[in-house]
Amino acid sequence: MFKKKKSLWLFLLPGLAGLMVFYVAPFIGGLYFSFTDGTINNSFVGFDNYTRLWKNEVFRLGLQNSLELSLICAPLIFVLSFTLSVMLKHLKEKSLFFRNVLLMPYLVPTSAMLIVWTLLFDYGGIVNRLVVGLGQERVLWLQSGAMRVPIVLLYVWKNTGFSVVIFSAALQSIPDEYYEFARLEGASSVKQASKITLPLILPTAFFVLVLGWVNAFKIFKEVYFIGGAYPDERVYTLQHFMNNKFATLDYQDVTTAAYSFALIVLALFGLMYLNKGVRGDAH
Amino acid sequence: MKKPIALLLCLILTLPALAEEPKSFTISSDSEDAWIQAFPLMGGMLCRVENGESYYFLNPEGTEFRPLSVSEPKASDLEEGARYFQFVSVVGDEGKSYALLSTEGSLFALPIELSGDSLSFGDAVKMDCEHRLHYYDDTSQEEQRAHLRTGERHILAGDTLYICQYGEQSGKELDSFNILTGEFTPCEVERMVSVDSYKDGKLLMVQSEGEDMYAEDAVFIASILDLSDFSTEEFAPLGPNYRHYSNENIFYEEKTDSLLYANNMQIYRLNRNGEEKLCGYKPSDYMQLVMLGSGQLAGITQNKILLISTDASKLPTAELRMYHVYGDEKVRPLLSDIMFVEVEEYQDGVSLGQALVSGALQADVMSLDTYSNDPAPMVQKGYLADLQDVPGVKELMDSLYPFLREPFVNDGGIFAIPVRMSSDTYSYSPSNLKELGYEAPQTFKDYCDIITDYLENHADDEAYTLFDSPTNGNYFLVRMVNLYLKTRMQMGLPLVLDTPEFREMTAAYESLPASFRSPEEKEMSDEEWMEMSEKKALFYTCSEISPGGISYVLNELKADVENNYSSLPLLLAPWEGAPKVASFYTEYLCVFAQSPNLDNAKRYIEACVKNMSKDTLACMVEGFSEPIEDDYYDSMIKYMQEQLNTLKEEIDKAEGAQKTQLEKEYEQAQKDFEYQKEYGRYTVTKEGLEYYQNIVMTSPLMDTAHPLLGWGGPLTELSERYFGGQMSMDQLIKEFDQKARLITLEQQ
Repeated sequence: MFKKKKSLWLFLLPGLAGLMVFYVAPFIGGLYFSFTDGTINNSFVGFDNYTRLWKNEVFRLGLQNSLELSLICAPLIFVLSFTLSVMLKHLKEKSLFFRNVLLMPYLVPTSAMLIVWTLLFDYGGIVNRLVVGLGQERVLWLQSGAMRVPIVLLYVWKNTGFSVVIFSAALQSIPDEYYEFARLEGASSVKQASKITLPLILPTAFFVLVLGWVNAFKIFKEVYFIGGAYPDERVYTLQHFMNNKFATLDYQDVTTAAYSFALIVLALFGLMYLNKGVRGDAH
Repeated sequence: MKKPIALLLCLILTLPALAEEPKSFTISSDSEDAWIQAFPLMGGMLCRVENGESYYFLNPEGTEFRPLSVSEPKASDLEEGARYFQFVSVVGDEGKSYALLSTEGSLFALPIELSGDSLSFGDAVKMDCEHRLHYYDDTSQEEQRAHLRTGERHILAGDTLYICQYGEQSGKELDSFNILTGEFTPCEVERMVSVDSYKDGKLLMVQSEGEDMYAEDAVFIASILDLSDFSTEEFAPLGPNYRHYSNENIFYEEKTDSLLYANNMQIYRLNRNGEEKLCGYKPSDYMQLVMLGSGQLAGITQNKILLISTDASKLPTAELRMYHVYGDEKVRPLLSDIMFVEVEEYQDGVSLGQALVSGALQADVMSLDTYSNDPAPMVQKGYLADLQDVPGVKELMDSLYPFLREPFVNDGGIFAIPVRMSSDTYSYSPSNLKELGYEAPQTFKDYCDIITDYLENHADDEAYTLFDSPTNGNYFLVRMVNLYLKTRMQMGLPLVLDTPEFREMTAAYESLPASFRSPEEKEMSDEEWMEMSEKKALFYTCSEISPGGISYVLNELKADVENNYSSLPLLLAPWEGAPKVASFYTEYLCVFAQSPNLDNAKRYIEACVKNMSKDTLACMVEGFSEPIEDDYYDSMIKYMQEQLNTLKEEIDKAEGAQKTQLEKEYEQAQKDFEYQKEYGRYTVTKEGLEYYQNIVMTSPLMDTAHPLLGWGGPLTELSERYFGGQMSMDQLIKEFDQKARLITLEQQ
């Protein structure tokens, strides 16, 4: 028994070592930074950095925009990917082809897609021509607050496929007998979905939502590529704030903002995890 | 008995380890900046000062340095019609030495003989090197002229002169000449980089292995070249310390059978095993070396001859790591016990900042500029050492203009010293403006009015051009906004565009002709550029703001010299009643607070402060009042007088059209001479200083990399959309202010 455990730890060691070196240690180091004054002596200043940061209007603006974008993107991806995976389940053998097609955008580098997106949504691009054709004024899709539309579209299009794959795997793990029994008992499709499918894939759904939400929170490179370091106020995200602070050597604000964000996410998902269903205890 | 022996032993053991000051000799000259050429001669070193004004000789042992009496040949003795010659090199072998002198189109070898304190030249033999003539068009004389490439390295083997120089292909080529007859024979050697004499009549050379010697991974091999059949025998491959583009010579050291070369200030020894070690150090990167017969190296810095040891045990014991520091050739030799090592530079200010904070920066002394590296975060966070206890620093800083001092002081400490100032501003030609009936513009509106009037009434006048280089509407708009913002910055006002003053400026801008405001970038051919450069420009797109530059222009205006390029800084008030702001960015020297060599770094700073040039002080010190004399004034007057005398002699001998041409040249030379006599004594005049202090420095501003200013910020993108018809000026103002608000709040 001891030998088994020993070999288990030996196998885990490289991965654990990497985790410690590249995640845990920097995490602790960054946390320490957020409580110091950033001078060469790194003096402890308590919560001064946090109080100063939360008073900064631009930080709050970035955080608000990041929250809003994530509240739009994550549920959209969740609903779309769940719907698509259910549809794919019904296609059976043919589903593999469509799943791969859905996954393609995820594999394409963002910068390559952004070039196409900027052409589409440019002032004289196809989208505006359609808009003009519909009798409306051209929209500054890439410069004004309307940038949210192409950003959300791009993000959802790129990331839905990955969530479809996860949902598909979860759906396939539900035995068909449950649905057969439910049909025999006279349960409708909606009831099957709500009483069988959803409860059984709740942990996976939670995972997809967490992943989607955390990733959506990190929307930045798309906006930066199009709008630069200082885009329109409505798409100025928390990452912009951190990026600009990094460029001016203000590492205290960067780490403080990062840990503030981490705390918010932890709190949010901690609350959700209290739900037994989410934990998978329900069934 | 034992004790004295022990003491004696200690002394004997200690003595070699003591770091020695390198031996040096001083050339007495009117100026520390005298131009001195050094050539190997009979195992020693021949020094030629200020174009032959005086000569000196250092013996092969490096123990005696004495002046020589020399009667140089005249240029006209070498070649008819030649007015000057260039002293190219001295070569020697088997007890015979030759001086290589060149006129504009010819190279001559003259036997030279050193006898006691006297150096004499024999009869010149012309080398057949027409294939090295480079032809170019002299537009001022409207003729084609030739310039002779005289080569980078010259070696004598027996009666054959070998010249190594750049050719058509990658690498250098080797020419050979019979030094007695001048006959040329090409040599079959490729991809040569450098060469020196070897032994037994052979040469030691460095070649690149691949075709592209400038490739990152280029490999260089040292080989022995047999001149009888141009076969090569590998000596050793050169290591990563070798920099072929440094233009340094290589030296063969017979006593150790090694190759010596310099990279920056470090001297390396490569032996036949391919082992490469640091063996010597020269205090200046630009110091050219000569190998003496005793095996020592000698070099010149300022007006000093230094003997450089190649004994690794005598290397300076202390080291200072320098980041991007240059222009301190006067300072480093003063700290001869310190080895200065250049460290690799980072790509940008952000990378440098990261390295500073993480501790990855391996530098002691740094030279940065305010435009790329705002000193404020580094000063406030304590990354720079406090220099207030360094002798001379406090006095210097107290004497500077406040705008120059403030970025580098904090809480009573001094964390950097400014060493150079630069500016990016337009200039104007007072004389050209006057010719067209314009006064120098005082405000932005005046400026626009002149442009409009010129385009309406003088655009077809072929003698004039509005600007010295093409400008377009986009460029002009960005300049306008920068002018406005910098003024507001200097006045301590918020950086917003939505103000009545800016609206006034945009009204003036929009009143300019549409053709001028077009964003189209004009491509110009070489002929068009040439044509433009010959016209009289009203405004110039860049200007040097310094007392020296201004003094030069004021002198020319006083003397009414016809010169297309006399221009003064164009300082404009963006609106009526606003100050005229001159913005500068500054290079500054600082010391990394965590440097392990703080004491030596501070010694270096002290030496920099003590040796700061008067020209720099004239720019930076408030109320600087001392005109600065030109060290070369007397020698220039003498030279010009000699030129006049030579011209006169030629006129006497000439006839017809040639005589007429020479008389024209004499007249111009006479004018130049009179001008130099009257105005050439001072590089910085009293008037220049007054102009600089009273007009330029009324509202100075330190230019830092503010995200709203310059090129590449939000303004560039907004102006592109404005010119693309995507937004009006009102929208541009609104969006800019929005971004400005973001940036301002973010920085709080």
